[in-house]
Amino acid sequence: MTFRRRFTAISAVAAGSLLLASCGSAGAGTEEPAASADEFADTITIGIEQAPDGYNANTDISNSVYNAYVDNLTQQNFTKIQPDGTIVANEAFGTYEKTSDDPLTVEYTFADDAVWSDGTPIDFDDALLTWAAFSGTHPSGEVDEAGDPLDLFHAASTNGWAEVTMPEGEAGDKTFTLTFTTPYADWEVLATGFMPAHIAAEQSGLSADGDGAELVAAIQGDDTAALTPVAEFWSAGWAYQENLPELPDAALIPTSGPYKYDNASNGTLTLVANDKWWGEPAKTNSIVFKTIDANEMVQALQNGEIDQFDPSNATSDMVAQLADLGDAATVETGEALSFSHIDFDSSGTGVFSDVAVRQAFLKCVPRQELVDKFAAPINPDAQVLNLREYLPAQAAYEDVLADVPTAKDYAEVDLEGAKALLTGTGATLPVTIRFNFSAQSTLRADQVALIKASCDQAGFNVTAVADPDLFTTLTLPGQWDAAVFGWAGSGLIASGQSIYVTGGGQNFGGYSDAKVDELWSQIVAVTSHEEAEPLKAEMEEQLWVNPYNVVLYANPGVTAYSSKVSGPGYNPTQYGSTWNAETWTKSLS
Amino acid sequence: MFVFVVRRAVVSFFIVLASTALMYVLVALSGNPLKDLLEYNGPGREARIAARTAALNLDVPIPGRYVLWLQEVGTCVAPGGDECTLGLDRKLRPVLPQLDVALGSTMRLVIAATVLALLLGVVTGVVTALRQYSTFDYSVTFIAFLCFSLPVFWVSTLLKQYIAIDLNTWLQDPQMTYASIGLLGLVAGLIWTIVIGGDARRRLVVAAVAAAATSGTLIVLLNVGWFRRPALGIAGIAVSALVLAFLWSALFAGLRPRTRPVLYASLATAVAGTIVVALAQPLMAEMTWLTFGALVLVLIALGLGIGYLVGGHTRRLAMQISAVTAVSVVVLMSVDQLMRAYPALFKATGGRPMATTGSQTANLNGTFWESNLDLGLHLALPTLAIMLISFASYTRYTRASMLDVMNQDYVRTARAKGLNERTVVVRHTFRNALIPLATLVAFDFAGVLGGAVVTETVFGWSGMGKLFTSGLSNIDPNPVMAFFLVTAVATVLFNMLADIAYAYLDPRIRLR
Amino acid sequence: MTDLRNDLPDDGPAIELAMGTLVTLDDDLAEVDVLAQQSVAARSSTQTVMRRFRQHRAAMSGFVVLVAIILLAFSSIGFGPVPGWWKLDFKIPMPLVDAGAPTLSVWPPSLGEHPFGQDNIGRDYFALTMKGAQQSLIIAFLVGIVGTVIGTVIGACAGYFRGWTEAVLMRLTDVMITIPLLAVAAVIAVSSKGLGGVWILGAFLGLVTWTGLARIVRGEFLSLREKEFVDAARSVGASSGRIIFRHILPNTIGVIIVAATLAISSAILLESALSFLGFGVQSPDTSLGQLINSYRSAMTTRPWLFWWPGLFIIAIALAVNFIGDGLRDAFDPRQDRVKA
Repeated sequence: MTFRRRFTAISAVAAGSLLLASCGSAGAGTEEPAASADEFADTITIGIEQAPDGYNANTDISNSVYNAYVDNLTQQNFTKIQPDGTIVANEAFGTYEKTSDDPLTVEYTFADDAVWSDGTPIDFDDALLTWAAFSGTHPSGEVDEAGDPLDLFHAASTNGWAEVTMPEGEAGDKTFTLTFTTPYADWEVLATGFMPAHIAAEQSGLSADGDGAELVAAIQGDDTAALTPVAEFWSAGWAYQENLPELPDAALIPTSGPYKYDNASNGTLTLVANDKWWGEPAKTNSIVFKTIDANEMVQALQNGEIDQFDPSNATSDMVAQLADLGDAATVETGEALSFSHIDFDSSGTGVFSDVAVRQAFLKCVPRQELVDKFAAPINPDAQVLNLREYLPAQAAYEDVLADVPTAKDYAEVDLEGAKALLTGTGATLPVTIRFNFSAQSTLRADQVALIKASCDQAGFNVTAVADPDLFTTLTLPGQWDAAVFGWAGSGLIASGQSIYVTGGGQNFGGYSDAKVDELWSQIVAVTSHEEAEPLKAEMEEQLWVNPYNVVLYANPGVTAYSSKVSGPGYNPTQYGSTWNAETWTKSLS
Repeated sequence: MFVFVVRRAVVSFFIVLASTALMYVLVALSGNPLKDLLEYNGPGREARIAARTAALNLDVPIPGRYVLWLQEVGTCVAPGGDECTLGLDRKLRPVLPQLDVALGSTMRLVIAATVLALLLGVVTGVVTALRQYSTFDYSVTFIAFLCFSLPVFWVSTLLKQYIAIDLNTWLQDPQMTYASIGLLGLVAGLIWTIVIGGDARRRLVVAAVAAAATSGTLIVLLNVGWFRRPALGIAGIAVSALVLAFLWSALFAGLRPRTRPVLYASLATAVAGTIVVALAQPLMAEMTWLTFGALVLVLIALGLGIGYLVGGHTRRLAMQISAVTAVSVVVLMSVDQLMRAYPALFKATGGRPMATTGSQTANLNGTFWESNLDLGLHLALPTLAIMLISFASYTRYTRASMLDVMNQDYVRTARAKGLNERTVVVRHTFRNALIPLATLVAFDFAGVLGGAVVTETVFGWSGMGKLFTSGLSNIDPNPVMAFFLVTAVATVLFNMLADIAYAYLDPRIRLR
Repeated sequence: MTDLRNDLPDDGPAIELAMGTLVTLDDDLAEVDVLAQQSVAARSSTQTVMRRFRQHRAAMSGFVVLVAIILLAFSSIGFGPVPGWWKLDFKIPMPLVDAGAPTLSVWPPSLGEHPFGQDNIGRDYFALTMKGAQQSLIIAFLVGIVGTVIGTVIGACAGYFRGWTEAVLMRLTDVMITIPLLAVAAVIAVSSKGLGGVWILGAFLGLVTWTGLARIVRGEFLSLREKEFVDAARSVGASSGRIIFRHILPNTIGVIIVAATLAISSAILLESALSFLGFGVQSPDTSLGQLINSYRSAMTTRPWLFWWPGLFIIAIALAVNFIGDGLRDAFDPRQDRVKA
């Protein structure tokens, strides 16, 4: 190339780029060929706010709500709870049948091909270990601070199981029977939390041979010496380290679900499809759980680092941010199974020991405004809550509400009425209220500010108290007057008892009403939701007549996922969004 | 020396003892460790409370608890002691393994930030000192003050949104309009003008050249799809290595005839090093830390050898600078390989390689270079955020220290006796100005760890910061104390090292 | 987070930065003749310092900005019983106008109903930001004052008395230095949370931020106590207290003022970082850091909630830093070229 030709070439390029400069851009057209739409990704990543803290989620030290997210995919139970709260039998795992009402007797049968992911059949020793762990019938000889005996097994709860007599049977049986000494309302969802008995046995110096015969003998013979190491392993041996830096030895953590554990590091847990799974195979080969701070979830979703997440405390900004992602993300909102409310200290000589003062406060709290400002921006269907044991999304809500007429008396803010009631008590206005809320929560602080703005006009003087340790304060009647916080519903029939009855563990305000107490004693003995309904309606009415608290709204919930993923949906139950994650797929394009 | 170390160790021991005691009491008083259980309303409440009370010795008064904690720490120090746990956390799990993991990831962050901030800060500081009261000096001063004034978490949030997410989006389809290319060129021109300075004519030339070079490079890179498949290539390595070799020789040895052998040696090292790298290409795919280390040693030995052979009467200097050149070749080779690993990582991360959270991509299972690139990209933003403050203080210190030394009589003497400016600056000023920085780095360490607490929260790292913040907000004393134990020991250790370094660098100081 | 400029080591060759030898501000003292020896214009060093400071353009701009922010923050919404000129109360929720977007308009210039917008429940964000700025400034100045007083007293006693006093005080300083400032501040903030209020928080934070200054002051005292004017005072029977506070301390005032300034700027950032981590000021109380933390997730959707408090923090910290820089240059006798 001579100099002249080179010069011409350069001039041409220069002129060309000048032309382009007016409108063009560099770098276009270097894109890789796009993947076709029917190809699916190998992995779906789910964002969680806290790392799972144990393989066994039913011990008294495991309390990460995200254990359930993982267990949905790795542990099978006889039932599956649907997002609307209904209970569906899980035929893949086994079948069950109520054979008698008095005494309540249920017969369970594990599926013939049900095996742990290490190939060991799921059978009688697993069921017997579950009973042993949850029944609280193995005293260790030690006592706690209150002087109550401690059990060898540190189970999170003995509710229900404590009423069950030891299942009869032999090692290797696929069938077992639970017999209840007293009726138990929520019996259908009791048989959960099966742990691999052969692992517990092996780790405690017992032989796993003969379908766990040694362990079965130890439990049936109530052999405390042999059971002590088993209980220790059951209680602590499956715990993970903080922030999940690694998994325990793979041999210790077989699964019974569509996925099995693969690896973990730094709070990121990877599950892969379980090759021993006998049911419908998982659609996506690998599910990854990634621990991320709640505030960083949206950015992570936007950046493709996670494909799905459920915020535990959704805010309107989060929803707006998600909406800004446009087509890239799908957002579903709904009601969570929890609600916000204001509790009164109605004990002793507190301000709210007077029914009229409570009624006056009920009249001045701007409930609709609270819904409009805090719940509706997230869940457009949000409404003022009028019941405690039923939430608007539940089918029975309207029916029960129809039998609770007093709720309508407080439908509107009535400042004049509130003032009249207050004046009627003979108290000098303004009446000062210490209104406590969790110091960590901006949401609650804003709500208290709003309530103060309204109730101060009705003759109250609300003093907002940002409490760093709200629940300790609540246990000290006399230290507070009103408090705003949330209660989580469990979907169980009898779990609310301790909130409302005289002397109940969560009846922080010392509320006492003979009629409510009587109704609860009837509710706990029923065995179905239908029977409980009229009793609960009557109880709800009484909680309005003699006001227990101010119910505000069912907390709004959100689930968000990348539009590439299909399958997820909003699930307010405590099982979380991954209840059907084995059916999720993620397209590549 | 030995007496000094022993004396300091004893004093440090008591300092650590006192500081942990102080912190233990404060942490113990900061709240009720049973808080979450008191608000827990499920069954098994009493059993949980009893278990935690026993594990954390809550039935023992605070001073007694501290002594029990000391015993736990003692078992870690004493040989053949019991199992060392550093106590249990609120979920009854030993703290030590948690600390182990946390320490690893935080150290990566802190060391990367410190090294980068130190390098950049010292270079900027020296240049600002040499060009005191120039536009560049004022700009850097302003930037340094701005860095001092920025809340770390505020910047981190912005970095995530505007660097990570927007950069990723751009990288998916890397193109630029010619208008923005031109604009970038102008900005680059402006920056270089400010940095290089000079009279109006020179400024104009610098601006024009820099602008043209930047825009031209961008156009070429964009058009060949470089941002999709970046690489330096052997040619790139060779050219850059030669430039660096020249630069190091000019800076540390000068280009006088007397030191010519140094230049030859380092240029030869650059060429030979590039050849070795080219020959070692087949090794790259299966690289491990072992082979990497071996390669580094081979190259350094090569540099030393060439320096020895070519160096002549400046043998020692030639060997040193050739070794530095060899290390530069290693760095260039690593950059090249990391760039080559980029397309694979790009695919593995679904086209979004810059991470906003976490310290690595899960289940990457990539090659040596892919996983290191992944680690690097995860490190980039948190490091940048932590660096800002350290960078600012290193710049200011280096500048002040350089100015201080430049006003000293011996520097004036050196100038007066006709030494050239390079010798005066590099030999007489720079080396002495660096001495106080040794102490500063030691002191900075605790500060950087503090900064890491905030940054880790924003970027979702589970390191020491997470251990501390989650421990403190859950009122879980033992993880918090593990954090304080590490920082206390690290600070006294670094201080001692700084004093020793001081004595080594400054012969006027004697350790007693 | 630690402000390194305060954490200077006390042994080894002094890192003097640009502080250099200092001159006294108090020229009616007996040691005027000593000053004359120091080849510094003895006519009036206070005036010299003031003149130098006024000529330092960056410092003067910082000073003007800081004074403007302080005036704005305290006059707009008032302080304590004194009412302000701004019409809205930071506590009162109002109906949301245009989803709470700011009504501030540069052209045509107008403030509108809510110049900085509204927060979640419709409170005026300008009033809230001003309240936050007040609280942050109170904390910062409290930390500065408490930390400076403690640091000065400890440094002065250690430097003057030497012996076991020095050993004890300096080992105490060493103990404090082993703990990252942010971490100890977080623990202190959590422990003092029940006591309430920014005043307590500020005072407590001051208790842990004195270490750097103590070391610097001690270093100054170590050299000054050997000077002739101290011997002179001692020979006429002055008490230790008098020597420390009337004779030596005025000579170290420059170092102390500079360090106090920088302590204030780092206290602003310390407060915001603590509030960000959830350990600092908490609702219903407010501060700039608390506001940013509350609305961090609103950065892309309601950016004004994130940017206004952030800009105020940066403006305050930057202004204070420049003032500190100007003071340092102004107190520096070697500084013969004051520019910028």
